[in-house]
Amino acid sequence: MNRKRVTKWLKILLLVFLLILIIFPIYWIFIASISPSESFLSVDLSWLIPKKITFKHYLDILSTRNYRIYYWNSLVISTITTVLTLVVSTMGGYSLGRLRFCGRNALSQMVLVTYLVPSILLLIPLFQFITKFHMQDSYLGLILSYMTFALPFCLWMLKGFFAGLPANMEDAALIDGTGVFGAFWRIILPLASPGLISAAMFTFLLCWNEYLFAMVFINNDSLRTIPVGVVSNFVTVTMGPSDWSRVMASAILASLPIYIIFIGLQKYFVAGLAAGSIKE
Amino acid sequence: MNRKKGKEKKFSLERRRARLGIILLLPSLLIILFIVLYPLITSFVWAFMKKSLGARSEAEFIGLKNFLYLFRQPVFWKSLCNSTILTVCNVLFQTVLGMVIALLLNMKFRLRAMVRGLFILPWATPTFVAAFAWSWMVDAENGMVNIILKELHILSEGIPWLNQPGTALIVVIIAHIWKDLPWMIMIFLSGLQMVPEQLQEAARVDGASRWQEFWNVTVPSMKSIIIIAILLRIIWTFKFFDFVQLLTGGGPLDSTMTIPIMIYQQGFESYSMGRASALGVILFIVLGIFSLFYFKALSKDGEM
Repeated sequence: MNRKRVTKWLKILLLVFLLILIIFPIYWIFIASISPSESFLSVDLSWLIPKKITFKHYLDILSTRNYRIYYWNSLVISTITTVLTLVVSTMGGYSLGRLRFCGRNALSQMVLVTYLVPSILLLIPLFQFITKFHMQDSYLGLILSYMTFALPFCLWMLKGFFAGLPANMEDAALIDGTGVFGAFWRIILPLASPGLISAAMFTFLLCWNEYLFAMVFINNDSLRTIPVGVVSNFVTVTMGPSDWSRVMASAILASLPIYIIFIGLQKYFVAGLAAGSIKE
Repeated sequence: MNRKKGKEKKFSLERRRARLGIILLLPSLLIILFIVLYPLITSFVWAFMKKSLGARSEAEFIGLKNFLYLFRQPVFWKSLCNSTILTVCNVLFQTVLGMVIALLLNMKFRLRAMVRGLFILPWATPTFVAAFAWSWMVDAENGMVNIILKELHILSEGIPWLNQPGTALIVVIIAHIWKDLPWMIMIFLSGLQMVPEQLQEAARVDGASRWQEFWNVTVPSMKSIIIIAILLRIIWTFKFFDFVQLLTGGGPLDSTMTIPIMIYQQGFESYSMGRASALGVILFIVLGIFSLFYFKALSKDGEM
């Protein structure tokens, strides 16, 4: 019995050690964001536990109009893309996952294939497409291009979720007289809400973090999203200590919504991974 | 008479379901057609053309010249090599570490939910934030990595890890492993929870050690999940652009150049769409091969 306990404690120790390694880079940024600028001039081991902390950098960033605009843009674009994608992909996912029609399997495969297409491949033709319709420097252009990866991904994930629900639920609903669409709307959909939450989380994350399309398709600074805004405006070749602090504070602020969503809703994260990626 | 009517009713139900299926799928299909399939095919067509960036530039058909040009560039082979190294290391370390951590997180202990949540952080961190973190951590003067190594007397002076050709790739690889590890951990964790308890207990009753139990019960039960996770990781690592671009941009001296970055540079720095598209085709073929394995693995799992 004693040996079992010792093993368990060793394992916990190992876990804590790995946790520290994993969290370290983020802890580092966080410390940097609350340390006074002067401390950047001489960094050593004692830096890890700051003697003086200041929230000045956060206040600086939040009072920078640019940053607030980037945040807003990211929020709007991510939310709209998520909602739009979810609406379309819920219908499509249900169709692929539970309804039978001619060509369903072929279309299923096609959706899978489009999910595996790298954004970098689509970048160039999409760029031409978007500039042709003068959608560059607009929310619409970016939202459309985000759907190139968001939609196949959600379709795939939701299809798995819908397919995993108990069979013949629609039959029971029909006996009650709801009709085929009613079966979908009133019975299946509420049951699939964990799947919808998962899909929404992942989509929001993908949009929030997205860098490539946001960098190429938007040049107007007032429409930039956070990743591009921070990298192009706050990070310069010659950066002084106070610039670094602002960058670090902006980084933490940019990560906070995602951290909160994912840690708070982590059970949906795990469920989503399983259903979407590994179950057919 | 009644039986006939019953059959007709069933038939029309199938029809109604099929119709609903098509209607519900239509919006998705149309969108995908326009923003994924059409650009993809356009991209493939350009691979065989000489075309430069710009909506009104002429395109002329030049056959395989783009591909031949690429094959003659040393940077192409360097990219392929780097992409492969990055992918192999990534998958290897993530599989092993992911499994270890998943096993650890499967234990019962207090604050387990919170610890699991903390392990998600690297994956949830925006790529540009992760790039800052790592760039700064390996900074020659102020980076914690160098400071710690100096304290341990392994180094006398800080190394500019990301700024010299030899070590930049190492940092890129480690950063990628760090960033995507949570995904692997969570997949394995959910897989672990699906291992049948009876089998585990039977093994223990039979006197198997933890180690034997792991290899003879746990791993086989999770075989399809492991394979699928690995294949997906391979595909994703190969096509990942943002992180390397933000860390090094492919440098120094092309030492961290990967295929996606090369595509970007060919298209947006050399303005040669034809060559960028040709590279894209190559990338697509590589991903396609692994995708075929992935589909095969999925359908095998379905039959289980």
